[in-house]
Amino acid sequence: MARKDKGANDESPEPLVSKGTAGDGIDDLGVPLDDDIEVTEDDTVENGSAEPDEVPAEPDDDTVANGSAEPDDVPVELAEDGPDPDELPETGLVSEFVDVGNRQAAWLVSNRESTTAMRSPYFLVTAGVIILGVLAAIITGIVADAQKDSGTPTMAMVGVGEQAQMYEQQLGVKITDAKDASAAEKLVREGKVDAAFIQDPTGQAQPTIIALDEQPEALLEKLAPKTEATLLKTPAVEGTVATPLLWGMVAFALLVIATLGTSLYQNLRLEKRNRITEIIAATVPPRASASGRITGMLSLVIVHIVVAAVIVELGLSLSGKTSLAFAMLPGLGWFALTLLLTAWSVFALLVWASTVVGSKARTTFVSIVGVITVAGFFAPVILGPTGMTAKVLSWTPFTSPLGIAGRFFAGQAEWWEGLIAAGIALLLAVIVHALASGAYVRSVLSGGGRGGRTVKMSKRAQKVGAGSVSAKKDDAEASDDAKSDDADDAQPAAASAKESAESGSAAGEDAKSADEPRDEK
Amino acid sequence: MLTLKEVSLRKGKRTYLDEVSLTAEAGRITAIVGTRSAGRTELVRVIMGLIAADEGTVELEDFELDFGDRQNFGYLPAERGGYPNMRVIDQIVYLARLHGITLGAAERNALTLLSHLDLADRGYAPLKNLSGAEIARVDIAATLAADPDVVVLDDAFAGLDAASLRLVMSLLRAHASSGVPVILATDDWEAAQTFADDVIVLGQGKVTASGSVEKLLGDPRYRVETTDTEAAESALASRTGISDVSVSRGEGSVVSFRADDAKTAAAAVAELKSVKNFESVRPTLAEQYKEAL
Repeated sequence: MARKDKGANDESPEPLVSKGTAGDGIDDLGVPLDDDIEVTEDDTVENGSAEPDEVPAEPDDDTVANGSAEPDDVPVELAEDGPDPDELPETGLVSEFVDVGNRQAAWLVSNRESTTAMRSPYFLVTAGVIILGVLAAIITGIVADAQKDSGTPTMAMVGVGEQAQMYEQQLGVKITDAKDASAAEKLVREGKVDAAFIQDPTGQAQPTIIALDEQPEALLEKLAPKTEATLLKTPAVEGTVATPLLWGMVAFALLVIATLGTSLYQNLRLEKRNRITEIIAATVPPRASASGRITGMLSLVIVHIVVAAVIVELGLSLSGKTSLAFAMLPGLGWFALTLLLTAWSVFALLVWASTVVGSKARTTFVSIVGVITVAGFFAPVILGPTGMTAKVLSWTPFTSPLGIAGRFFAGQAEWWEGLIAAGIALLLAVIVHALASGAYVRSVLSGGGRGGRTVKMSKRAQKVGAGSVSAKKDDAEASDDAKSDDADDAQPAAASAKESAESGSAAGEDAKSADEPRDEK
Repeated sequence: MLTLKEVSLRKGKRTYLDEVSLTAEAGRITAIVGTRSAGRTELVRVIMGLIAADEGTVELEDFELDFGDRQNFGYLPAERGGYPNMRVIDQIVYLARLHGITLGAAERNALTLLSHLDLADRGYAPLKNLSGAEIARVDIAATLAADPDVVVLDDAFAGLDAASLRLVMSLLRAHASSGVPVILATDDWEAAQTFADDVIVLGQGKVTASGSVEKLLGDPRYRVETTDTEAAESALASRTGISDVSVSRGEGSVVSFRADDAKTAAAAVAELKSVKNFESVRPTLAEQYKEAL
């Protein structure tokens, strides 16, 4: 039971071996010594269940055959090399234990949770869809760019009138006549022309070329000397890329959270139905179990995000869009962080939902979580990245992943706004996690409504913290060992299989409060 | 030795457990038997610390158990199931590791137990591919894989066929013999009488009887079928070492009595005339207690 206490190993997620009696059941080659078990077992069953009070005075044939009595013709040296049957575990089981603190327990549960989800076909399909979707988007972008570059560039010029045709022939550019500079700028803003050529009204300064939000490379190459265009808007990521990108991110977020959330919820319900929850609760703290489930799924969200981000950035870099890849980084980064925190909240809510009594109430709870999540992901993309509403949405949990990403792509967000969005999402996640863990603990330890008080977690915490019990046990163990020694001395050396069993049980009794009996076993 | 001292559990007006006291000795198999709604599951849950009793204590070796002190208790709840899509061995190893056993030891124990339970060839199959009796054996393997200090099985014999039951009970016997209290909660009186060393009879949340199976079964009763029941009755009543002589006039004429020992009974019957049949009868636990409950 000392293993249950929080030990020094609590810091490390990998448990450390603290004790063990593996050698008792294993030979030098690491093979379990099972041979003796069957014999012991048979003897025990026969003697134990049929005639408990009958104890033969002399060892019977079986005992001799087992090796507890040495045949005379075996040299002593050889006999000593064999394992002492009294020291072998009667069950053939190995006892090699580690301290399991909250972290280790959470890690074990998390590991099973994530492994199960990863083996699920839904996870593999989702991963496949995400990878193919991202690749398809990159290829589509490359093709669209190639088609866009192949067309004749268009340019608005002020007051060219009938000379437009002449300029078109000279420059190889389609010219649109504009009344004045503002009309030309309007044509640019409306996307009717790639750029506008504005001459200085005084004639003293150089003419300027204005474009909307990107350099019209194809057009500028036709002008001599080549100049830079002045951009009317300077978004980090141009709208034609940002909008489909954001919709792709919506699909990604929904796929990831829906797949993993469903897996988490189904597992929880399965464990509740099959009473595995009780087995787990009897061995590890339920709060650690609840946390393990959530962290297990969050680790898979991270896997998804990293895979998608690497493919996007690598794909864009390889296709020569390094500047776009860099421009997307802040938006993608904040999206990833806020999505992870939102996923934390959603998973915690699903853990909570799984504890609700009544299928109707559970369905309602899960539906509400689903609606909030879907609406939260769609709203910022539909409403756009500008305006006060967009700003509020980019800070609000559930809408923040897409909201903050959209605003960073549009160049509308300050650098610190990402921190605020992430901070608020983190705060919500921590609160929901605490509430969900509490609900899970209550659900597991309330005895399924069969009366009694809910087991108080604080009892254990106090006990572990004080460490008084283990100290008490150590003291008692010492006195029990002394008693055990006395009892052993009183027993006759030669005994039947039944007697062996009983002496074994006496030894076990002596030390059940501590870990030593395992060595004896 | 696991001891419960005056454990009571109530909810509203209903009393699930009423001052239940019992002891499960190390090295022995203790069966908690009772009819449905006798409070067996509640009692098991209190033992496992899943419900805190309103009154009373659960002690292991005279130390009161608190929440978190049962990490190496092997527990199998009633109406159980496993992870259907998980491989059998993975399932056993996972549940064992929650007790704190190392991965290597858990794997080794899982293989040992599967071999004992005649499931060596099913270890790498998903649980859903196994039959009901095989799944029941896997449940037992998962319970024992961490080499627990105390074994508590609720509805212990559920899903086990006759062959599986023998395998499971030999394993539990071996485990008990290693110095562990094994507690079985069941409504199968016959199996409890056959396999347990001690029995605790639970009725309406109270312990109505407890002790070794031998003690609870009591001394046998002897039955003599004779044509002259009156003579037999008076002859038996007058002998020393014979008591509780009665005549039942159902099918045939039978005189039944108790005797200090089998020899006394046989000697007394040998002196009777026109004896058709002589037998000793011992009513089962179910016959003695079930109907009364």
